[in-house]
Amino acid sequence: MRYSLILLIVLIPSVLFSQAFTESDIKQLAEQVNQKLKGVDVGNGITARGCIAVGRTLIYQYDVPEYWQAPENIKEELISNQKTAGAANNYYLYDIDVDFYYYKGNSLIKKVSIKSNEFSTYNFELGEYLSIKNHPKSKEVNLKLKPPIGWEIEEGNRPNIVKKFTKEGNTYLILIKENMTFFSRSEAREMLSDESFVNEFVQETSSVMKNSEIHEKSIVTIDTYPTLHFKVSGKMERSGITIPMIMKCWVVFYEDKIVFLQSMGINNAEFRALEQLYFMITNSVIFPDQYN
Amino acid sequence: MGKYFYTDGIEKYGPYTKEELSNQKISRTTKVWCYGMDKWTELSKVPELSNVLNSIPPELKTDPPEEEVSKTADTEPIQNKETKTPPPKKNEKSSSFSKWLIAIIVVILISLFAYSVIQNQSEVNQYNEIAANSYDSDEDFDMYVQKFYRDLEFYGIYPKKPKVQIIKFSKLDQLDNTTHIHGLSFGSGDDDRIEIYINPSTWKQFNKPMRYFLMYHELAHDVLNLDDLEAKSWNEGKLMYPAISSYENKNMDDFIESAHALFEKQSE
Repeated sequence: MRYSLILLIVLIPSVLFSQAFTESDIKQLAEQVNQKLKGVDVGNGITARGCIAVGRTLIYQYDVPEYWQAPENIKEELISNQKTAGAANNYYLYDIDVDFYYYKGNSLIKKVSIKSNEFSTYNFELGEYLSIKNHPKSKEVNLKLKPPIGWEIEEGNRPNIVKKFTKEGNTYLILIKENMTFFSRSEAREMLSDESFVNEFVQETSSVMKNSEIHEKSIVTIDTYPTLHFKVSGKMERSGITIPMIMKCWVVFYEDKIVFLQSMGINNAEFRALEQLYFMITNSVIFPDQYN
Repeated sequence: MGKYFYTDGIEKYGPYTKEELSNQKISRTTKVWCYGMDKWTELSKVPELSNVLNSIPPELKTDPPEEEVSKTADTEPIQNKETKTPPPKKNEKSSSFSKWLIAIIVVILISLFAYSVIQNQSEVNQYNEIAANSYDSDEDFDMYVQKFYRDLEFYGIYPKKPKVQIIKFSKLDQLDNTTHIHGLSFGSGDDDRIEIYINPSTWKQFNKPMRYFLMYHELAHDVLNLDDLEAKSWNEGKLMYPAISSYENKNMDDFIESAHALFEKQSE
């Protein structure tokens, strides 16, 4: 438990604003942990030998007594312990693999390898369908999607925001605006084939951020409707503090409306981890009217 | 003294003395003959009949004089008809025909006028009945009007906004001769008026694309003053096709593209 706390203390400042953890960072981390951990009695006759790093893998080494037998489910127990201690999420976010080596004398008697994604504490599960039909702000758009389990479902506090899902500073929202006229699906696809239009549209949508940079941009389909997908990073000022932000957006051209399915958060490893969830939410979207 | 015959071109009359000839219904151009003349000659060209000519009043319709026929080698056989009633003239016959023709035309015109009046009255009666059976509802018809004008402006068409806008349900499903009608517009040709009545039964059955087809169709009548297209197969799918009840398989893309096709054509 102790070394987990050390890890947390080291990593927490990084979690908030850093975007990546390099091998050099991991090596530095291992050295810090090793200094704190070496020779510590972790209980049950087990003594920590130390901590080293090889590539993106942290290796914790222990000396165990002669009578020690590795439990059958030692891997699951170790993962559970790390989650309980709060270190698991950081391994996951920063893509750090962890090995545990157990020695009797100079003989390595047990090695447990845990990949970073096995430490995920995120619950990427979706709930039942939520519909915005007849919502006062839906502007007649009939749409339903599955919200993520464990997130708050809130009403939008601005005129065009219909609903938003929030958790710990991360947001996924449904925003609907009027388009200048009706566009059929083929007309919308033709419009989106114009590169200059797309670039201008993305720039305008991400104008809330300063020094914006486009990371991804593509034309996709959401339940048969042509959609512009893009990911943009930039900076935003909140209460005098400039924060690196990132936005991942799907813009659906639906009849005479533009539906924004927009996720936003601090530009860090957590957002990258949540991208999979945002993709799942977006992929659940259905426009039922076309089937009536 | 010779005796003269005259002809009206059909019969020949005489013989008459000059005095007697003066009393016949002849004109300057009536052809006369007497023994010794080569051929029938206009009265005005027979010198010895100048006295007769001078006694003839100004040109009127005259009945051809009776003609007495005498057979000679140099002349056409002339039949002797004394005191015979002149036959009806050719121009009298044509005059009679003209009168009948005019009479028939007048009767036709009067009939058409009467039919038009009756028809108009019938239409007025129908309009009054439809308007009287109309009612307000929660349906947001104004939304369709706003979108219609918005879409027109996108295509550079700026029609006048009307002073009067009436769009209501009317019990077309309960009135005579209107149960099959989905919508009626009465503002065509009047730029100050949009007046549309919708059949509530069909509206209820219509899906979203069909409602848009119906509303834009009726608005195109009133705002753009467009008529229905002919119910021909090549017009099927277009916004102004008159039988949109056949559009139940159309989707919003079909509606959007048909509206855009119409607006594009109007903007040219």
